[in-house]
Amino acid sequence: MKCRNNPNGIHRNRGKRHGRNSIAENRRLLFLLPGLTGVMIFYLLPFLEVVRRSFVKAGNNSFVGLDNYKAVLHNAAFRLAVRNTALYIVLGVPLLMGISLVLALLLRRITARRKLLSALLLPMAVPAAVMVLVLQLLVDKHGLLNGVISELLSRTAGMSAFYGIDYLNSDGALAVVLCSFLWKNTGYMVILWLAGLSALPRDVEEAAEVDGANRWQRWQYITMPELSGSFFTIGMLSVLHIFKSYREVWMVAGSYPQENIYFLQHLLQNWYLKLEFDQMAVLTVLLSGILLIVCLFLQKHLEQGKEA
Amino acid sequence: MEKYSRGRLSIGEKNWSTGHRQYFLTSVVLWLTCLFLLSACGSKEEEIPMGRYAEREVKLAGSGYTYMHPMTDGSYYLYGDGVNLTKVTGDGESSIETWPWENTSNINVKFSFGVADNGAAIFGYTPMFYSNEEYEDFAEDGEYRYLYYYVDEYGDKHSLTLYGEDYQQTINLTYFAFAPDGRLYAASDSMMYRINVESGEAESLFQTLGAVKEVVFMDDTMIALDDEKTYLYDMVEEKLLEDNGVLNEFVASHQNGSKSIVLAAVKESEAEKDNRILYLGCRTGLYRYVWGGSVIEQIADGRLLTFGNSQYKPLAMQALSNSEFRVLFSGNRMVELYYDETLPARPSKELTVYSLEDNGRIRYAGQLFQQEYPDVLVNYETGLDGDSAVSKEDALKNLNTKLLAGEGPDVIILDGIDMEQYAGKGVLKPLDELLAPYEEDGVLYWNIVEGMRMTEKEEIYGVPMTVYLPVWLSEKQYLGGEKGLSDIVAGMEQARADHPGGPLLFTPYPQDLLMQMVPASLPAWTQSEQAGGNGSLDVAKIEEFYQAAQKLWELDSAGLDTDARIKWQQDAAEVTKQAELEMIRVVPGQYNDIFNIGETWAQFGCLTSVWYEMTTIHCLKANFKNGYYDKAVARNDEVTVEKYIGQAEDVYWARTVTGICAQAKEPELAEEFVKLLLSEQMMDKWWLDGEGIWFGGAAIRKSSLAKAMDKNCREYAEVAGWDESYIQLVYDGIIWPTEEEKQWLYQMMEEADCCYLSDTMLEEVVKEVGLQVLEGSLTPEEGAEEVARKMAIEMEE
Repeated sequence: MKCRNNPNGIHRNRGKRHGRNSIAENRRLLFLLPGLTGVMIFYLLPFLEVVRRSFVKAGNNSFVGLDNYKAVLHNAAFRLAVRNTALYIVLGVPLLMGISLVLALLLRRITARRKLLSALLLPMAVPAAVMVLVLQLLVDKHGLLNGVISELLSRTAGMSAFYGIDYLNSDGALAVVLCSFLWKNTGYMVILWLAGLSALPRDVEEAAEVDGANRWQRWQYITMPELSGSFFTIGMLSVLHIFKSYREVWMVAGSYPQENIYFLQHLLQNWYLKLEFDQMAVLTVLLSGILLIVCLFLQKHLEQGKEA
Repeated sequence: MEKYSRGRLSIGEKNWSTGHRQYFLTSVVLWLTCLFLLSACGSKEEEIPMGRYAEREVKLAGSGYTYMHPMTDGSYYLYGDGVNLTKVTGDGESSIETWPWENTSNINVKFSFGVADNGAAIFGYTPMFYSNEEYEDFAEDGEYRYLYYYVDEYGDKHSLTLYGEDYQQTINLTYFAFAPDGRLYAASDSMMYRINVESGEAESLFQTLGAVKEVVFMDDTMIALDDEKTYLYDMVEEKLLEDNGVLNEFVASHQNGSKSIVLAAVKESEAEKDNRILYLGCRTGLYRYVWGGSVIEQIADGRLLTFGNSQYKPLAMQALSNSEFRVLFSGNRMVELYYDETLPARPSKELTVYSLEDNGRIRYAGQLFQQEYPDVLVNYETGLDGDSAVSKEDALKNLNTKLLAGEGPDVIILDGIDMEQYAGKGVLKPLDELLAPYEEDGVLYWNIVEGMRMTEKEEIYGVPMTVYLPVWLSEKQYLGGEKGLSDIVAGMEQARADHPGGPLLFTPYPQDLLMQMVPASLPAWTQSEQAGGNGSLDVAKIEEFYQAAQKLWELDSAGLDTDARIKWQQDAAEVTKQAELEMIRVVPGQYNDIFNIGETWAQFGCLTSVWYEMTTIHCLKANFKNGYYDKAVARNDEVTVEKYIGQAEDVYWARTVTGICAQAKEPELAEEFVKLLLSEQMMDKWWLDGEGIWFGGAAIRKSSLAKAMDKNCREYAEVAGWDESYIQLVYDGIIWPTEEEKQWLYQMMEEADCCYLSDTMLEEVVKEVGLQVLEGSLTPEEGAEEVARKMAIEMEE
């Protein structure tokens, strides 16, 4: 009634609301700016400096165009590190996500799961140095694993001369590293999955069950789409954890490990020691670019999936 | 409704207004915090305040003073070996009174001494021994008994035998101190006593953890310190006071085994604000402790005073009026410290010198430089602190971070640092121009300097101060003349045939053999060093090296079963441990004891010093790093020391390699510093009195090497405090080098042109894989391939 009589009043009200929104937004910006300034100064500007350094020669700072990029892309150590890191991620992330999801789904149905969860989290609490020590005890040439194999061989096949394998210096090194990564991180990922699963609306699933949907259909059409947010978070965390697991690899195998566990971080660290600052800058730029693309792709893909 | 609306509106307005103010204030606070944090970033010009402690040297009338006893009236007594006890009431040269009662210059070895304000004095000593028999007669159960005599203020002399309270056993006292009231206190290795000079009774006061190094008196309190802590004793109440944590912490961190802290106490009535103050002087400077306080404040930086000069060791300190101090140092140096308000608190210029590990020679050079340029502060930084857990990799990362930030050092000591890498990245400045005059003068072994020239860049980026030369020693019948790897293997085959049992080489562990063989071969393993350099690895050479090493290890092991090997390793470890703990330098007289452990017949080594007719040869590289393990071999008819030619010829191991950073903030001063390192003043120096450090290596300055050949042995004896007869007694005399032997060394120096730099990655990998080769799990061929595989990534990087 009021609107009909005074239609402009609506506009005035809307204008006022827009004005208030704009003030509120400005106020938000005011709050955000100090934080953003910090991010700008401590992250963005240094990163821009890194980008600049990727185009100049270390030492005399002369502009060299794309020469540093060419040098890095033609560097055999770089290619080896990229290949190994990619393989590690391609194997490690899906394995970690898959195993932890399966465990989470199993645990979801167990009522007394709290105690199990504590046990699963235990590897996270183990200090890196202890973990390295345990790893060495297990997979060293004279370690527990070789001891067990030797004992089994002598008992079953009567073989007495088994000299043992130095796993971390063999082609199996990547498998050893992968196992230790999974052992350390699975528990944490299970917790994250369980958190995601607990947020799922039970009634929808129950309604679907009443409507005759089987377990796979419920998983495909209800659980999976609802978990897409968790997928993204857990996926990103898995990638980050895989990068962080370099510390253990370095502690156990040094700066120049067996060829197939030579990762990008080894290269970065060794270049730092060799003052290859220009090549390090290139590597950082490339790595950041790739990570950004992966992030955006995952985010977009998952959002699309959720909307669908 | 209207009222309600108005009410709501008014409440809303009020809320909005208050909230707005709150938002605004919060935002301002956040911004201010942000600005405050950012204000700390960046650099700003700092104004240097004025005023600091400076020193003036006090000329002493005599020499050889090692004791100073301060008197309460500001005068002091000086005493030392071969000089009379002297009282000085004015400056060091005038107003001198010789102690009237006794000629004290001829007392032999003085272990302890004390003098009171009234002139009474006590001396602890042992007589001179001219034969082992005399010594054995004197020593009780193989131990020295100290003798004492006390002279009272009237000149009456009494011989004293000091007994413990039970009068059952004599005691050896190492420190005497007269309190201001005239009472005499003394310390043994583990106890503090009060001495009754009439009866000779030593009354136990309190136990100490170690030998007391310094005692001062402050009113009724005696302050004593040993290597671990301080002891506070109330002389009136006659009881030990509670520990002072502040002082204990200071002593624990500044006392380094020998006496290195000197104390001076200022009485309550004389001090500012009626406080009692204790002054502490040590290597890092002068400190002030207000009694009962919780901090010890540094009032003078040792680096700008004699305190920081490792050539001199502080022996005693006296507090004077006007907050001035008198300090006696070793080397007969006395200085007076005074506060100069006209000097800036610290020098305006700073020269930063960096080395990975602490280098006594560089520290000493820094102090000399500081003296020459008082307006420059020499800041000596080391990447690896002996006590911390910083790894070499961490230290290099820290250095690189500084370089990246443009905060790198001016001068960089390249020992343990990849010189080629740093030069290649433009971190180092070429030294050709700086070194050109030396080439013209011909004062240096230029072939050694040339050996440092980088093949790729055609320039010299680092210059060593000294070198070690790889040598081989064995019985002459097996080897004579310069030998390569194949000759050595053949010689050892012959030795094994003659001596089927026992070890052949001084290589208890396989890693010892590899360590000793590497220096003379490593330069041949990369093409860059030898053949104009493509930087690739010469796998065939590494295989050849492994073959020789494997053969030698087999020959060595042929005379030792497992048990014998373990026993041999234990014996060798004992020798090493003994050498490290007691700083024993194995010298010719003792050589047989060492060389014949396990009946070894040959040895790789590096000629590292030129004492004892060029025979000091370091056998184990690793132990050498610790500094104390030498093997000295008498060159005689049976044993020969020869140049060891591995796979590379004329190799030298460059030591204290110095470079200048391209980014140096003080490039001219950096050049002056390098010149100082190459000067006679530095190169002639081989012994650092204040710290008891020997500098190893043969100087690359020709005149300094020649001087060392002629002088070092005698100087060594002097430094060790022995006269020639004592050396004669212990070591069966000194064999001086013959002219022929000198020429042999000079010729080796003239020929050395192939540089070996230690601790490279290639060396580490070859040694690591070499162990598997010697153990038999890899053949030499497989070993060489494994090295190539392991090095592939590194070389690709």
